[in-house]
Amino acid sequence: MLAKYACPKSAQGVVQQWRFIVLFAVAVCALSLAWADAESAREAKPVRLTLWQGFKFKEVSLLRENIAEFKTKWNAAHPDRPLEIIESQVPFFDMVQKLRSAALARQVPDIAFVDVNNMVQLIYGGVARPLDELPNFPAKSIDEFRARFVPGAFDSNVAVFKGKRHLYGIPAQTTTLALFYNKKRFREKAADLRAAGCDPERAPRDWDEFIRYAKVLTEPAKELYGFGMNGSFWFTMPFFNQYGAEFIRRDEKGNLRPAIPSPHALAALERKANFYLRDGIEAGAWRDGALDPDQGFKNNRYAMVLTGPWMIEDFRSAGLDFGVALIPRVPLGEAKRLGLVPPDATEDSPEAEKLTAGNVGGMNGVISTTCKDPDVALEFLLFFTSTPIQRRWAEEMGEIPVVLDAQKNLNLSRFPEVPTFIQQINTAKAFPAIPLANTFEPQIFNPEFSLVLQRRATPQQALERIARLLDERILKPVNEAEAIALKEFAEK
Amino acid sequence: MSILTLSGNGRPHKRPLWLYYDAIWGYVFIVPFLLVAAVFLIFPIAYSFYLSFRETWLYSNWFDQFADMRYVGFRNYVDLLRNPQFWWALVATFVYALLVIPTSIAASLALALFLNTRLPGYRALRSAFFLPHVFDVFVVGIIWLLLYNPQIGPFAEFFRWLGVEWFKKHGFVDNPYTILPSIAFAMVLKGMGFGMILFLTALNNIPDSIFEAAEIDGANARQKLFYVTIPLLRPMILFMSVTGLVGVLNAFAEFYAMTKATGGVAFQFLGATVQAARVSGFYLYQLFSDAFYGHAAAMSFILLLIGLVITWVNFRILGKEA
Repeated sequence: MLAKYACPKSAQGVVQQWRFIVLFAVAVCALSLAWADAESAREAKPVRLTLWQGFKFKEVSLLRENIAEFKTKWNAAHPDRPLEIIESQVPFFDMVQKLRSAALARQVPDIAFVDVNNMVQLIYGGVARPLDELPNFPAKSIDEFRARFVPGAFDSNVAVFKGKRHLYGIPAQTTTLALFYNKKRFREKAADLRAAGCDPERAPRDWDEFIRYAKVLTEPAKELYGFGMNGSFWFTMPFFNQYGAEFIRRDEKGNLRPAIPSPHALAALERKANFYLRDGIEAGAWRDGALDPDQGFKNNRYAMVLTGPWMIEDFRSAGLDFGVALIPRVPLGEAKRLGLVPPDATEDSPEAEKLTAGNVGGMNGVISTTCKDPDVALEFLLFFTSTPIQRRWAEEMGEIPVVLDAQKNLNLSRFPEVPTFIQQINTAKAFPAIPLANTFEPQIFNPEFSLVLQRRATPQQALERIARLLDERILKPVNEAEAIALKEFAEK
Repeated sequence: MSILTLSGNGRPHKRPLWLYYDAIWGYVFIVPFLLVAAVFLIFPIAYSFYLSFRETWLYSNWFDQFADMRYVGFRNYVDLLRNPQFWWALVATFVYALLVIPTSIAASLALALFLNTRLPGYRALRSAFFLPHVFDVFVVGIIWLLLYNPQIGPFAEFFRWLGVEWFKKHGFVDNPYTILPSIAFAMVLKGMGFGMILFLTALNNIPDSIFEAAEIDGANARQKLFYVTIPLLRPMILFMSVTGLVGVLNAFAEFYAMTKATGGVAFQFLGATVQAARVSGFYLYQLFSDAFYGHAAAMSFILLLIGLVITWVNFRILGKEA
């Protein structure tokens, strides 16, 4: 019926050819225009980075100065991509919760400075982007890049996720504990200290010596104590690290298993608990309702505490005369007995120097998977961890530089304590980067150690229960999830 | 037009539609509220019930956390019911409720009766007692923590002055026996000003003629209190019991502040290590903050059920007479 309207076959072919050519030309023009438009829009569009940080007090001002400096440098070098950084302060301990909520609303910042202990959550949650995959990653391998940084701080950024090892962050700030001692109290008790064979001019070097010092400095009737300690896991990590205690190992099938209780972990836990239970030199500062170690040290009630560089300004502004020393070592005799050093090691041998160990805290800079300009974000993180910037943080804020280069030739007239922290952080070890590790401290270790300090459990019993709970609540779920995930990834 | 209804004798009869106009208009007016309630109340409740049968897993993507949860059936409920920490959370909440609710009601009533007598300066006293209620619970918690401090706090010193050294050694919030009473005491003092205002309002609504009649009948002050005042205050006591119960089931901030976010000192319960002040609200918070959303949702439904049962019992006991 429609045949009468149809063209002859040859004519129909020509028309169809023409139609095709015209349509093709229109499509090409449209695509070119759209591409050109998008390209010009991209070129003209400023780079906008959002940044969440958990710094405090004066640190925030210095960070803002760093941001302004980076912006100036970037804009001078890239006039076609003007940069805008929108920075927000988020409480350090609330960062993960805020990021979780923000992720649901697709409002995750491009860069976040996150507690080192929360890195694994961000990686498994799909929030942290692998940085070693970015085109402007400045090293050939993760290990080559690692050589620039404090090892303990760097390692919290590396994780094996979905079977691949990547770098998910860059250390932005690192902290560790060291021994703070009250010089005024040492002077007041100088004669007694000398009588006990202690030198009042310096801090104790090993735990046996530490106990001798602290016993002289403890006067319970006056509520003055030689030591005030925090009972949480983070503050107990140096003990486990210096006694060489491991918490987690992989078995022959690759499954995670608890590595405790072990003689090393037991010795570490007993050492710390006995300051309160046996030696009577600890004030009970580990209790929730008691005067905490920092406050007690500030009030001259505790002669020695383990705390970090963040307290230096505070103690100084309180007019306290204090010194900072390395965390006392494992006594050489005990170290030999536990096999931590060779039997022929002496106090001055290099092996003995490793008998002090720190822990790792601080923040890592993370770039989110939703960041539209990850190359610029990485540039900012590299700028922030560059030697001149890290030197400023050490010299002006008294912080430990995260890059090894920046630790050399510092002008630390304002913060003479920093070299001790630098020495201590280089001995530090991070807790293994496993998922759910954030629940280990508050829900597993701390309550069990509290029982030990209340004399409701022995260190051995506590370690056995810690091992069981670690296995039930963290390692087994992780092993099961990894097995399911590997199967699913393989199927995909 | 008419609608078929049943008359009083059970026979169907037709009722004209205009009789329903008022009801229809009533519904029209409450539609906006119903919509808001549906979106912000009914849907979240239904959705959290749905979530209570699912759970996040290690690989749950944060950008899609709720959709990425896996179906686990009743496992969340079973896990909770098999967990001594959950049972301790309920026991601790129950103990805390027993400590706080009756004490709070009694203290508020005593204060209201005392300040209803038009003593000199009663207005200033009313304001003074109400003031702590206005303060943030975190601020109050931290102040109380200083007061309870075994080394520098006045309470430990006071007990030492009385010859009791126990608190100096063991503290108030530092041992499992005294932590709940210590927090309860602080919260009763904080909240009794508000209870006092409620009771004062209720007291002022009792007609003087009833007291006059009681006096004519020869009732003394004690008899007037127990046979006139308190029975007439029953609706208020019921209200305070129910709101107190809801408050206790949701109590969190005071425990967070007064245990420095730890849940309190540890001890053994049913063979497991638990934290003395980890009441249900605190436990729920921890589940939620650790992203165990399924367990948290299951726990809230168990708490809802418990709350409903206790409220029903309350209404049965106090409601009838009120």
